[in-house]
Amino acid sequence: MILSQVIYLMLIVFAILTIAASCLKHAIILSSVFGLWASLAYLLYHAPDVSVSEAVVSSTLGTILLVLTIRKYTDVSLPPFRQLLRIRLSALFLLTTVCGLLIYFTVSTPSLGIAPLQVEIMESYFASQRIVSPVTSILLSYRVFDTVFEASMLLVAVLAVVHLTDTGHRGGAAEYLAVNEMHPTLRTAVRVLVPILFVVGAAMIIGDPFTPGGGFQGGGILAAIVVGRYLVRPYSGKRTDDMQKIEKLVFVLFVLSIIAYVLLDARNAGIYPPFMLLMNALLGVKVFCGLSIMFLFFAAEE
Amino acid sequence: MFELSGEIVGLILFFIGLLGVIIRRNIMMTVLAVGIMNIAVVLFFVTLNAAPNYVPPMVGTEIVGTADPVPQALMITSVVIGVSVQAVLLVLVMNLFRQYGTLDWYEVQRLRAVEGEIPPTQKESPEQNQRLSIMLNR
Repeated sequence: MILSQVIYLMLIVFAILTIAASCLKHAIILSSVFGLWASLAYLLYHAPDVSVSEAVVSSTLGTILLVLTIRKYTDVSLPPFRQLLRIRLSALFLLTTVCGLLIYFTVSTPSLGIAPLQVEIMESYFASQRIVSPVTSILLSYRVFDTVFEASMLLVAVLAVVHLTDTGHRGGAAEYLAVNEMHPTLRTAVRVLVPILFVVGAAMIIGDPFTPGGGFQGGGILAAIVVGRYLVRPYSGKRTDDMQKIEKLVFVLFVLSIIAYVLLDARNAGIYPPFMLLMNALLGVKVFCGLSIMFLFFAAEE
Repeated sequence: MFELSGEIVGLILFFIGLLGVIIRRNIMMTVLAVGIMNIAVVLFFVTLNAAPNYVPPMVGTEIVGTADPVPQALMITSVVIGVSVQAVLLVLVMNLFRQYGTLDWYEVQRLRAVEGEIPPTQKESPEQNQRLSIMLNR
């Protein structure tokens, strides 16, 4: 009880600190801490998969993309929040009123009970062989077309990053070499963390029905290895060319496997578990390649 | 005693993020505030049909008392889409900074108006604009 109240209070405090920060760097770090508290709050509501994804995104990839964006931006100071707030005081009053009303309606709405969809999904999960967790099985079976569009959206985002970044000469690594020489701690920490992250990421992709895991979370954790390795030993940009080919190939294979899955009616034909594992693995590789390419292009940006 | 719950905190966080979008004039701060709104929406959805005394869906043995896996699956999608959107936004911010050398919404708008691309659309009264320009040029 007390723990949950502390987590909620911390969420609100860090959200306010983030938008009221007086320096862009402070704001980025505060928003990263806010994301970690948010992942704890998801754990309170027993959503470990969402929690893992949020922790990976907010503590490694999201934060490092934000930091890389402002590294050329010399003036990181921000105008004081109070003065800006004074100019738009009416917005504060309006938002407070609407927020209060929404909270009142949310609290006074009676609970609707258990949804029919949850009953159906949990019953089929209890009856199945429990190869993957129910969340993964929703992503790859019940909402499989949604997942295809999600993967294609990630592909589009990667293509946008690839085509909109200006990597005149693929460098941008020199300043990190200096960091490496100054901080042997960083190098040791990454050396210790890489095998752990690799095992955890691979375990999440392969999936165990009683632990959180799936293609997205595993792919994100594996991409965190790329980030850590880059901080210690910057890559040349050439590596991304192969990775882009792999990503597109895996995406095509993923779509083909889903078409086969749907057309063969695999769930009823008894070949459901191998398909699940295959699609999970393809999704994991796809997400890993996508997030890594995004990061490497940001890092190579001149 | 009044207790905070996940739904209420989600709503409050959403409006804090919206306040940041409205008040802040730095484009990076807008990106961060949109990120806060994203997290708030995820938190609100995760609390649907779940409570701290429930069990996670993967270890549940009966339907009553097990957290609903459907919103969780939706929210994993949302988190991944959120990071993709953020990456594309940041690339656009970088390009904007390269072209105009500033990350201030109003300054970029002014520079674009000077170029003759679009007319300036200042919504504030002249007095507010004057106060703002004095403040920002400190």
